[in-house]
Amino acid sequence: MKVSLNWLKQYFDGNLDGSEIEIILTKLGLEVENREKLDESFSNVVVGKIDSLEKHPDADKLQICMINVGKSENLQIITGAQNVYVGMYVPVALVGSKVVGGSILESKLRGLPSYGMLCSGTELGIDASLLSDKEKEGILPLSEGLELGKDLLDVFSLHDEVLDLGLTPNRADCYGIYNVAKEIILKKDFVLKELETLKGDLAEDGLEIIINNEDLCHRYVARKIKNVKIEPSPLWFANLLRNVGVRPINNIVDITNYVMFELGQPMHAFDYDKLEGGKIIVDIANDGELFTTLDGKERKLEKDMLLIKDGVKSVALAGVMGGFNSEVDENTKNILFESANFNSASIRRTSRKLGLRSEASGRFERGLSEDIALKAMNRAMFLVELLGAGQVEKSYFESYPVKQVIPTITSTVKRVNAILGMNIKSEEIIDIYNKLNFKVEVEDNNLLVTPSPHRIDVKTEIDLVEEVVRVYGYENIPATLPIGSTNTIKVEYKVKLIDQIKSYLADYGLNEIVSYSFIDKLSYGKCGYSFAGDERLKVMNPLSENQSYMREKLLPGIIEIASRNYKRQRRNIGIFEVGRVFKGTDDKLPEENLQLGIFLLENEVKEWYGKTKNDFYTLKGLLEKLVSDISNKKLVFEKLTDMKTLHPGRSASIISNKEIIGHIGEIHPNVLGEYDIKEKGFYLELDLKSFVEPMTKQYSSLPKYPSIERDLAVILPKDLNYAKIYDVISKSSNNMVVGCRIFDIFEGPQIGADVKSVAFSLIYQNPEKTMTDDEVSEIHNNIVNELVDNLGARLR
Amino acid sequence: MLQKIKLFFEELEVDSLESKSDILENILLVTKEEGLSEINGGQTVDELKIIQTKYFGKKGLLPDLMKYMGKVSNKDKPILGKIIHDFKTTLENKLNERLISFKNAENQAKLEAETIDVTLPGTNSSIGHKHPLTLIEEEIKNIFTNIGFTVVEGYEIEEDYYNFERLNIPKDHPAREMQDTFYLNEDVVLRTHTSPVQARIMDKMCPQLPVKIIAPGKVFRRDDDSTHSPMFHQIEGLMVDKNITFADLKGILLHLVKSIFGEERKIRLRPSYFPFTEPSAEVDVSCGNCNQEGCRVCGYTGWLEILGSGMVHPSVLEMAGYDPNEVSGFAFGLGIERVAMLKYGIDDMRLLFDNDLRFLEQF
Repeated sequence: MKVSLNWLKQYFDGNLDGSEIEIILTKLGLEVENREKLDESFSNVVVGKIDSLEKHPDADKLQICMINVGKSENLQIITGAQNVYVGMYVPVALVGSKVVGGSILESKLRGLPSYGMLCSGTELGIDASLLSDKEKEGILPLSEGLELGKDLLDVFSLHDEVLDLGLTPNRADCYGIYNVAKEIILKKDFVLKELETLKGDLAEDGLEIIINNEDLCHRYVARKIKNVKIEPSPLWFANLLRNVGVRPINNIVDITNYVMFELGQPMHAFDYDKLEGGKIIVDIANDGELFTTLDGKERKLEKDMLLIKDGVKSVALAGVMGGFNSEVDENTKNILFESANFNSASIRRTSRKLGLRSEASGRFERGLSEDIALKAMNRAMFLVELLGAGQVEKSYFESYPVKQVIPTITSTVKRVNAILGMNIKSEEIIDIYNKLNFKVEVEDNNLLVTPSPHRIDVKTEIDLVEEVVRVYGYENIPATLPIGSTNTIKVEYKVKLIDQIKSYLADYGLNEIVSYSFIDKLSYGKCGYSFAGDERLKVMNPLSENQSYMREKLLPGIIEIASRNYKRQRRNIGIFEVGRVFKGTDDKLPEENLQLGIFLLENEVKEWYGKTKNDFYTLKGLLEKLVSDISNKKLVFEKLTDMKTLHPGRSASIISNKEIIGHIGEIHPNVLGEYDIKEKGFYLELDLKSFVEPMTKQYSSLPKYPSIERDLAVILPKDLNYAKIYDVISKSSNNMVVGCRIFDIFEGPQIGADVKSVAFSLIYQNPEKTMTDDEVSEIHNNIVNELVDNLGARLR
Repeated sequence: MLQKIKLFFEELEVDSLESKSDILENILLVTKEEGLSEINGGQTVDELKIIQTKYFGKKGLLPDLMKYMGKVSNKDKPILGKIIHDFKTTLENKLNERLISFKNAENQAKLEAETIDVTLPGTNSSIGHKHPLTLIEEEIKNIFTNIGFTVVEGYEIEEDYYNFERLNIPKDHPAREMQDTFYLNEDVVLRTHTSPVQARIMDKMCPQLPVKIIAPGKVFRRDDDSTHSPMFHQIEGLMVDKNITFADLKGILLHLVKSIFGEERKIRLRPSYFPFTEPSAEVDVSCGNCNQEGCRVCGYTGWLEILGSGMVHPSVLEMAGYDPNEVSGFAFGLGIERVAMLKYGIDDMRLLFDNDLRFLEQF
């Protein structure tokens, strides 16, 4: 919402500059998003009149203009513009002036001197939206009869500043500049000027106003103007509109726009003679009804859209846009002005559905008081007379089926202070209400407050509290700390777990990433998953297709980030993410599950101390370390074969308590290929749901007797896995093996095909006594025998 | 010398050593001086060994001297013993001292030969980093858990009912415009703020008091440019109890801002509007870049907007089952990205989601 300072200052008697006003409005909760001085885009540009025109002897496209700028001698200016003619009033940038694009110097054009420049609207910094089509082409034509030599800043009233207000939805009243002036008065002892209006009597007959949908239209006011003279508004009036970003069109349209910016009430003007049947009917459209709006476009309406009809046809889309069939044009003789209160939700739906959003529909959408409809009409009528635009009829027409309810709110000083934690005196509070023009009655300890009609946002006591503290000043609120009882809400373990996991993994040397929760459904296929995105997790209105599904997996996001870093020549990539993945359900909400994903790139490098690289076991080691740091879980790994995401020979399910809680492995080369990663990568995903608060650890007594270490090397079938070997060792050891370390695994022709040699170091210990060599040997031999019998092992 | 000693003992009368001991001592003194200078002159361990043998070996000087112990009277024995002992220990000490110093030098030389380059980088030293958003989130969580708030979490995909209606934003409310919402279906949205946690936790707690929570999490809005990301992070704070005031809110926010940005920073509350709080306030922190003199960072205003807050709206309390005449509360929501950007001087929000490791490793 743009507010011109010149416009605003009409309404009070004091003087304030732009920065003072900005401070006041900010303190009152009207955010000033921008403040712009309008007289900075050009200087030293004056009104001139073209006295004569002549073709440049040496250039086809140039013309020599002799310009009268109110001095004794005309200025010779060469122009390339084609829209100039003798007698035209033009903006003349004098030598030494500044326009958009630079400074104007005396120059020679094809041999002839030029003492200045004729300007286009753009060169004067005028926004294209403020220019008519005619004004956009070439030199900006000025109104005839302007004082020659007059500074254009004065002509256009550009010694002005414009504040751009970011209004919150509750303060829709401030879409009227007059209401902004009321805010200024709250902080300054200025007198607010009454608006001059032209009141009328309520007509008995002449036009019947019928409202068929009272919910959608609470009030409709109309008034007729006779003998209208459609012409451009006077410059001072047009300038005010232009300064708030509205293009002046003609006196009648300008008056409706002026009142809308002044009071917030949008208005509409019908060509009275195009209305038929002596009626105005407010009604909803028929489904599929076709209606041509005044921009000439035919629109297909839906049945909840609100229309204005005359006795015969539809004539306007209520609050959104007028109809082509009742448009005011240069031949219009009589006008019917409309000032109505339409339902905000209805207007919002209609303007949204038709893609027609305007200053007017925006104001209706935010809500208006019923009260303002008639005031706005009276104000418009005054302006019609002021501008001499026509004859205002004495009486007005109205239907007002749903009267505005202005509540009387009961409040106490004690309550206001209790909420604020302050001690504002009763008189001060009453004084604030008075400044706000709220009526106050004192009844015992209660204050009965009736807000001003335009403040439809003030409905309950808490709204009054806000008004009091807003006017009293947020800067005057003390800062205290709450005193109260002890909080007993327990923190969920999940919350602690997330923090712990992030800390451990960062300690292990990994970097945390944060990726988007929505992904491209195509990325599932790229990652080798067999599903393609659950439709129940599809975003109805995504910003783009590649952000349209809520993720079911972390890998697509993680590998994308790995790939992006890889493409930046990064090779040391060890990243993780802890975040939620989603699962479609038949319940209202999808499941949200916390997951961890870790990606490691192989990154084989020669360091000064030797070669290093990551592999499956590096990642598995990280997992085992993490799981032992955060839980008492025992993990089991089972080889996976049917996955297209991970390498079929180098991947495993992570199992705890017989439940699969994740997967780990080398990423399938096809998947890495999809992401242009040309070396091995490793990935693990871990479901965190099963990680519950671990039981407090209980101490077990330390062994009193020494342990004995024995080595064992056996030759075993090549495909026999360690878990099975260890299983046999552990079962045949009579619980005397307390440690088992593999120190060598060897395959090669020396020992034969399809076999491998595995060497263990076993640690024997009896908790009850010191073991003798014989005792150890007995068990050791037993282990060997069992390996031979059960697994086909032979000793090396 | 041996000759002189031999002569001395031949001439020594029984029991007279006490009076003649100085003569013997003088004889030995010369020998001792010779011995000491010989030891001092020894340049290697081997040379010292030879000297050692010369004095202490089987055929050395000392065994020779010891022989006289058997030859003197019982009365003279201790006197002679002491003289020999003094002589012996002086030489022996010197010899050992010299041997040890040779040994030390030898060890020293050996260790010096083992010198390594201590300036080479350490091995396998990959250093990990938490994401800057996590760092800020943890910092803020700590500030609040220290003053008795509990961290809770809500749903990222939330019912329209909790995201809007329970926060006093019915359908068709103009405030829905303030946040462009992603929908999964008519009733389910990607939460546009962490505020639905307020309704969820109050439902769970009511009628118990107090409710003191802090709720971090991801939120989503249909916006994507250098200052907006369609996904970002917020932290919601809520305190509901008897007698909670707007002044308390200001106090808590001041504590928050000073804890994050430093004791010297100030806050400014500006009236604002959120449907679920009233009175509401936007909170600005004084610009630390220019000390409020005005700079590019603060848009020449001296203030940086960091959060929205207010007193929990009576309707929101009521919908949760609390009586707004008995109970009051405050709530605030702050953007973690915004705080991270201000605190770390990050000028483009997209850096936080690009996850360039060169960026992440700076934190």
